[in-house]
Amino acid sequence: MSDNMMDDARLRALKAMADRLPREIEPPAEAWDAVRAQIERDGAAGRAPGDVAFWQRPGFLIAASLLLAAGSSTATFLALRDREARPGTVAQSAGPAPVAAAGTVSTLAQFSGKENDYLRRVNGLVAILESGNAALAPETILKVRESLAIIDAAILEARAALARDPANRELIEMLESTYEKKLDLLQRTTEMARS
Amino acid sequence: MRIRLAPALLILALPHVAEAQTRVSRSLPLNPDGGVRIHALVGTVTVRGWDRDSVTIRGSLGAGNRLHAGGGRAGVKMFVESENDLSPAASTLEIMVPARAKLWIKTATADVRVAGVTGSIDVYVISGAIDITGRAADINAEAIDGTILIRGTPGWLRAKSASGAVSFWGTSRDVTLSTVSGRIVVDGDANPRGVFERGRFESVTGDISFRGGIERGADLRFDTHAGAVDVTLPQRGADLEVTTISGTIQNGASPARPLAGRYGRGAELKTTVGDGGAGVSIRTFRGAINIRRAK
Repeated sequence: MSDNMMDDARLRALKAMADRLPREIEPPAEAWDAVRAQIERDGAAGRAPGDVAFWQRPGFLIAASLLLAAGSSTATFLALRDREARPGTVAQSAGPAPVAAAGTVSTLAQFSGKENDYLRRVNGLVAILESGNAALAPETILKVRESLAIIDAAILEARAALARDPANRELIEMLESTYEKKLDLLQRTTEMARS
Repeated sequence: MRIRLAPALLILALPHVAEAQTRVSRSLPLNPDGGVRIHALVGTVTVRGWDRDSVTIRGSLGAGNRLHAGGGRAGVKMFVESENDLSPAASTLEIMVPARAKLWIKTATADVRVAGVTGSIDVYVISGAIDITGRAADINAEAIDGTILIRGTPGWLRAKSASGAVSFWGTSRDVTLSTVSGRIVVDGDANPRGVFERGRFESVTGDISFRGGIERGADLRFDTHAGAVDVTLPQRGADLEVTTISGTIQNGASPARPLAGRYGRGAELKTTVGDGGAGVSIRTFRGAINIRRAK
C-alpha cells in the first residue's frame, strides 16, 4: 500500500528533478540524417503519402486513449483508496467497495449516478445499524442520529445550491466530501458496535 | 419519606459497592516492540510506556467484571468481561507497557489516556475522552461522541470524532483530523520547531482553528460546510487558495483582498503570502474564513 507521505516525497523529488531539466534541447546532429533516411526508405517501399503505421491509425489511437483513461481512473481509485493508509501497512479491504474516485465528475447530471451509489451504501449501513445487531447504548444512538442529521442538512443545502448552479465543481466536491463523511461515520459506528 | 430514605439507602449500599470492586495486579513478559491489545467496556484505561520488557496491569474491576489477560512475548491481549453487557460496571485499569509497544485499545464508554508510548497507537472509543501524549510513531484515534486530545509529535496522525472536539497540541508531518460538529483545534506552537507537511482538517459544522509551522512544499487543506475557519500562517507565509460558496473571507495575512465568488455569491482569494512555497487550501460552504499571519 502506498501512503501519501511517501507519495508526496516521491512526487516532490520527481518535480525537483523535472525542474532541473532544460526547457528544450537540440536534437543530435545525426538525428536529422536518420529521419531523412527513414523517409527515403518509406518512399522506396512504395508507401503512399496517406499510409500510416498501425499505431497512428484512428482506431488504434481511440483504443489507446480509452485504455489510458481506464488506467488513469484505476490509478486514481487506488490512490484514493490507499489515501488513509498508515505508513508501512497493507491495505485492509474493510467494508463495501468504495464509491468511484472523486473529482471525475463536473456537473450535477454526472454526479447523479455517483450519488445513487452513495445512497445505496448509506442505506445498507443504516439497515445494519437499525437491525438491532448493533449493540449501542441509546444515548450513543441519539448522538449518532444528531450527527447524521447535521450531515443530512449539509447535504440538502449543498444539493439545493447545486440545483441552482449545476456546473459548480466546488459544490460537487463539497457534496461528495459530505457524503464521504456520512459514510465514514456510519461505517465507523457499525464497526464499533459489532464488537 | 422517599427523600429521607435515600441517603440511608446510599450509606447502606456503599460497603457493598466497595466490596464489589476487585483489585487486580498482573504482570506479563513482552518484547520491547510487542503488541498490546486492550478491550474494556466501561471506566478508565490509562497506559504508560516504560523501559522494561514486560506489561503490568493494576487497577480495580467493577462489580461482576473479570479480567482476562494472556499471550506471549510477541503480543499480549487483555479484556474485561462483564457479567452484564447491557449495564457493565466501570473498571479502572492502569497498564505499563514497553515504550516501543504497538498499542491497540477499544472501549465503549471509557476514558483512555496514553503517555510515553513511541510505537504505534490505535484507540477506538464510542463515548469517552481520548488523551494521548508523547512521540508515538503513528496514532489513529477514533471516537463517536468523545473528545480527542493529542499532545506531542507523532509521525503520522489520524483522529476522528463526530460530535466531540479534536485537539492537537504539537506537530506532525502527516495529519488528518476530522469531525462532524466537534471543534478542531491545532496548536503547532506547542512544538515551535516542528512543521506540518501534509494536513487535512475537515468538519461539517465544527469550527477549525490552526496555527503552526508549515514545511516548504507542504500541502494543507481545510474543508468545512458551515464551521468557521481561523488559520494563522507562519511568518514565512504560504500560497493561499481560499473559496467559500456563501461565507466570508477576512484576510489579515497580506494586502490581497478577496474577490466576489465566481458564481455570484461567496468569495475567493488566491494569493501568495510572504515567500509562499507551501500550499494552503481553505474551502467552506458558508463558514466564515479568517486568515492571519504569525508575528
